[in-house]
Amino acid sequence: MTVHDISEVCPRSYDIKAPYSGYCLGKLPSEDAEITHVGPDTPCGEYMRHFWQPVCLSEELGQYPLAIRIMGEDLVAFRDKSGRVGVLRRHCTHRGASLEYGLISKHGIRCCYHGWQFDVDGTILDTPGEPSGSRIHPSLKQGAYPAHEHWGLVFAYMGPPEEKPDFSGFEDYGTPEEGIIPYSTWHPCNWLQCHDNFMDPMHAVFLHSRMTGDQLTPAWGKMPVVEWYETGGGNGIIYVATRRMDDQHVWNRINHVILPNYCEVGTAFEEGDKQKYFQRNTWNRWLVPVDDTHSAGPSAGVISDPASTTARETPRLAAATVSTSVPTSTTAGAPTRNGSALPATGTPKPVSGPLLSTPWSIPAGPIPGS
Amino acid sequence: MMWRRLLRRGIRGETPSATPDGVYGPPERKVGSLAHDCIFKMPLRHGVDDNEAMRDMGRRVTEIVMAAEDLPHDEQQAVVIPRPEELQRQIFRE
Ligand code: FES
Ligand SMILES: [Fe+2]
Repeated sequence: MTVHDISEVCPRSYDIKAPYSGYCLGKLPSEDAEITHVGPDTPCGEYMRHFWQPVCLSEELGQYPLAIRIMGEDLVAFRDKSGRVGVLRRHCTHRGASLEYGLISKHGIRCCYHGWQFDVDGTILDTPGEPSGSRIHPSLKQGAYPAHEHWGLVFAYMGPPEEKPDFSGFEDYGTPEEGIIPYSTWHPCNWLQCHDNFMDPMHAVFLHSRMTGDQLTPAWGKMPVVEWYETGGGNGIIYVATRRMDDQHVWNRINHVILPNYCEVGTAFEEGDKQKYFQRNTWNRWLVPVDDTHSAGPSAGVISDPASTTARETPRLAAATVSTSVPTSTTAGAPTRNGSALPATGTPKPVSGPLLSTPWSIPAGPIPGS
Repeated sequence: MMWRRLLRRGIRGETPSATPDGVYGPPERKVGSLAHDCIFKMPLRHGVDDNEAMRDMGRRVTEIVMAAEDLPHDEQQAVVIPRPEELQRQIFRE
């Protein structure tokens, strides 16, 4: 076997018009690390850490701590017995045991290894194995992040403490509490590969309709005329997609993405058969990096216009009330405290609720919100 | 590509409105959205390029929502909600 220099063997190495040109296409493109890498001290990771990020669903915080991985950091989330939510570094500051196996206390969580107790802000409350007079208490902290609950989602702020913004609400168009349905999805790919999808209305014509049969409504199979516009002085984009439904009606849709990783999506089940004006969005979505090669979408379904959407959307939204804990690359396949195994393949782990009748129940299938 | 360009500029701190202050706005404000769906009655017209007509319709709706972009939510709702209906009436007059 001879190892060739591709440029010599294939002088037209980037001629994509040549038949059977796979070899000649040469190297895979390199990663665009500036916008895809999300660990601490990376440009994109640092940027995202300045914003509140949803890290899990409130309903996932139960009897046991929940292992999560966000932007490459292994964390544990829990609700202590006084009702406060903690988001802590997963590995104990003492000897590194996983707080996923900790005991939730009235105040914070106690590590299973030597019983150290940490408050939700990382303060060490108790070090039972240490000699009296130990100075460890005041000299150490467990890494912790501020948490805030909204719409049944747990948000964490993982940026510099002195730059923490107030938690901002997100427009719910007056939707009552019971009309908001938190859910989460999990994706075995970089966050940007999924987030790009929100500004790609053409995929819906094919992926959700023509290639697979109508996953949502037949309206999605109609080819739209599309334009994109920058919004908010450069902090977002809308796409404007207009489709002809029949010889009388057209469907005009605007979806909106906002930096760094938020998106508002219109109805998923449009039939396009009745006039309506300015029906607000149904899906408020985030695409949160788990690490550089995995992402999660803790999001909220909002029935924004009950008058026109309830009949169609409610049963489907209700069926989608399936939370998925975030499988981590370090724990995939390992038994969990609940006795089940986190999927090693990256498929969502349903915690509750029927999912089989929804279009996005198929593992690695389409993401709600098109 | 457009999104990636915006993201890169946000990461590099080149866009003042792409900071937490710019995105979240003042404390009393909620992060708003321009996302929505409208169904218009717009009969196919003989001799009119329908794709062009739809593009034009999309632009007119975009102008409506973009004009109200910076308004607080309640005002935005008040300004925007009646306008697609007006646009509908306008289409019939044309
Ligand atoms: S490792 Fe956690 S208390 Fe020792
Ligand atoms: Fe989609």
